[in-house]
Amino acid sequence: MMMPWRIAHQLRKVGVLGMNARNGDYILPFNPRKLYPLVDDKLLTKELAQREGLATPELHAAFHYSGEIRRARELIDKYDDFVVKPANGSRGNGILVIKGRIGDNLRLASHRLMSWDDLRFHMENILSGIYSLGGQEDSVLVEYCVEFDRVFENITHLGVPDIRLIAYRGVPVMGMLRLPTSASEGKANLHQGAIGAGIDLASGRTLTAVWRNSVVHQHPDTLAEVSGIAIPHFDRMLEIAACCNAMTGLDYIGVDLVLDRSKGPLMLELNARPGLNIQIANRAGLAARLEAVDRAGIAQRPAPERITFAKHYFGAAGV
Amino acid sequence: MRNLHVYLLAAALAAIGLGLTAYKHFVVGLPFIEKASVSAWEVESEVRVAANGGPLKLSMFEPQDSREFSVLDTRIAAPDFGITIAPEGANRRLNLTARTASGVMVARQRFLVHRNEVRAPDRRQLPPFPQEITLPQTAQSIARTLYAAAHAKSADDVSLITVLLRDLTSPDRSANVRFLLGDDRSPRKIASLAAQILRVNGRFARAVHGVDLAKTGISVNTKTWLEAVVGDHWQAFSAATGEPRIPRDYFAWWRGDAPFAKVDGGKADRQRIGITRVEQTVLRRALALGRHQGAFLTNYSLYNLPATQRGVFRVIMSIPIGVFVLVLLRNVIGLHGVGTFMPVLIALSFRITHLLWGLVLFSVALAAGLIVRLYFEHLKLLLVARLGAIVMFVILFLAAVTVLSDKVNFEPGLSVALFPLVILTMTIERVSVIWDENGPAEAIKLAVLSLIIAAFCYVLMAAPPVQHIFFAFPEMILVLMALTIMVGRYTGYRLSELVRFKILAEPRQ
Repeated sequence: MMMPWRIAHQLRKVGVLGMNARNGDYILPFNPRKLYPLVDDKLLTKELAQREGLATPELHAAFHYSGEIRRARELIDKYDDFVVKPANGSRGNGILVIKGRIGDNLRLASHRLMSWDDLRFHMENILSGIYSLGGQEDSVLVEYCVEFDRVFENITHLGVPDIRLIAYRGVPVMGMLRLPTSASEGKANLHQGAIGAGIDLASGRTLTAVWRNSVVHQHPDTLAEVSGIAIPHFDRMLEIAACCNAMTGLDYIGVDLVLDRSKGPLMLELNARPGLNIQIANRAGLAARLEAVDRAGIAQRPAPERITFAKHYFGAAGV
Repeated sequence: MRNLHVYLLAAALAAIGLGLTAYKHFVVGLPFIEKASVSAWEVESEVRVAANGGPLKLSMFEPQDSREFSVLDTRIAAPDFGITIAPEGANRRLNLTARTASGVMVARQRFLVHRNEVRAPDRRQLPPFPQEITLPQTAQSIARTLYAAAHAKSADDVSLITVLLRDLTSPDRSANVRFLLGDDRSPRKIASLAAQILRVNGRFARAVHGVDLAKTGISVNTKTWLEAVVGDHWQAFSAATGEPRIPRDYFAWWRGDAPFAKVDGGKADRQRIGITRVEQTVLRRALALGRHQGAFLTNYSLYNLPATQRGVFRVIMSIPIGVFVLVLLRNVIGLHGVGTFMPVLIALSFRITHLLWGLVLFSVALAAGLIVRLYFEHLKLLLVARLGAIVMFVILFLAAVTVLSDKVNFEPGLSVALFPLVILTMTIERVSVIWDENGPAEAIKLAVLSLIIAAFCYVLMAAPPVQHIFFAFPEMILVLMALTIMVGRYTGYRLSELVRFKILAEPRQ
């Protein structure tokens, strides 16, 4: 049994970032509130990314008013697979992944069936703001359904694994591979039961993984090894993460990426308040890395230098 | 830089808050403990007059504040009389007049005497006082002889007066003294004579009449002592012993040689002074004294509000402590319930329903609301319509509970009022939104946690000592504000994070 102050002391030594420090020392001073809509509204983020030349999942349709939803089937029935999500959703809430049809029903990635009426009801709920931050009226996005890379086939269950990178002032500082499980019902959010595996930024290989606050080495559903997996196109992902700060004006940002087997890395969404669990997955402290970025004064250097810095200092051998 | 600013602001707020609190406690006298009590005296004087049938003029003395005592709540009960109060020399005289009066007329005055905790500043300037000399010519020369003898036997003004008084009271009195005093050797006569002798010799002196507050009773005797100017102030001397001090319970009422009551057009039948000791809370005394002295902080305090607003503000002023608890819970402990300050609002509604019944009511209504929500989910209703239907159900449910409670005479069941109802429906709305967003486990966890936090806040906010502190010393909220601002810049770990990140503190295996 470790005494609380011993733990606090040890955490400070490792450089673990706490919620108060994240909010008070990084988000409040570096992320101006007025820029939040850029990342909270996924439609805006998509437009921003396109202007910057970053690949994102293709937008099939967007619905802003209740009246438009009647035409939903007409507009999107031509796609076998697609994803329905709220434009202002958070923590993966309200996202439906449709994978094909069975008769007149839509088949969800979780193998459940859903009628078009059910889908329209879900869209109406999204519009009424049930999943949006603060409950304002929202929009529905219908997107290309990512075919995730084969490398993740054995270590995921139902959903799409994604990669979260945290970028601070243009420098990728920490990364995590998030793997859906049966417990997370296909969602890639750690608090919903997904596995998070830390990533060695130097090699792009996964490190140890965390599941429900404990360290695991195997996926609980497939029992396949989750550490030591080399993520393809990882350098491209670092490049994408490194340009997101300048693109949004937010200095501390979480970048969520997916790896499509034909389209390569796609930027899914950005987060102005990225969670702290990534530290557990990496068994490393964020504060130590953020301070290293500030100390090195690397933020003003060109992107390739910033990535080299990240690979050098934030690899398995680094901080 | 930012932190320095925060610390300075917090320090300034805390200093103002604590400073005002200390001032109000130590100088104004507001107690930290509401029920602390102190004794005061209720003095009543009664004069009965057998009227002649014609115009009647009755006058008596009104007590005044002194350095040692304050006179409060003076009430005069004299039906059928016209009442005027006028200053007369060092005294204030209460004049009661009637055009035609017959039979026995009664006039009473009643007042409260408080001992001043902090003595009023001594007025250096001496009040004007008539130096009338009533001794006849021959007596005046004897007075000069007595004064000269006392002067010869003394060293200074105080000892001179002491010696003079001893000469007047000693059993083997000189022929001179016997000539002036006659057979009357009461303190009243001695004080009055000593004052005359001193005045004949050009000194300021007067007899003082009052009561001994230590001797309570329905009818007490008046006491008389001597006051003379020594140096720059009036010094009291005991007429019986000549000592330059009087017991601390002697309360001065009027000065000079006049009797207490004067009657014109009738005959003084009987007069009496009664004293009772009363226990009064320190709080009441401080407020009464403050109003009496016109103290700014008392006149512009929450205590001066009408009773209903006072009750409301007693509750409102206790909200900051609940809010502060929530700030601590979230930023230092890492716990939070539904909404930002919802538990404080729930705690406020517990004030109306009381804790136990409030907890039962909230749990049952919450559970009922959520069960209905579960059912509505199958109907695929849109968010706002579904919430609306849930709110309506909750209102019907509470109406049913109240009606049933009335039928079986279950008193607490009738305590549902507008405020708890509004808070209850808001809570159910929030919990169902959380249920939709984060699933039932999270919703139930947050709901239970909210009720626990609310119960804790209620216990704290409803505690009479806490309410008293924030009502009597609203500036204590500045201190809480200073602490809250400090917590706002606390960037250390939350207690919950020590558990959450514990694995990072352990050495890698």
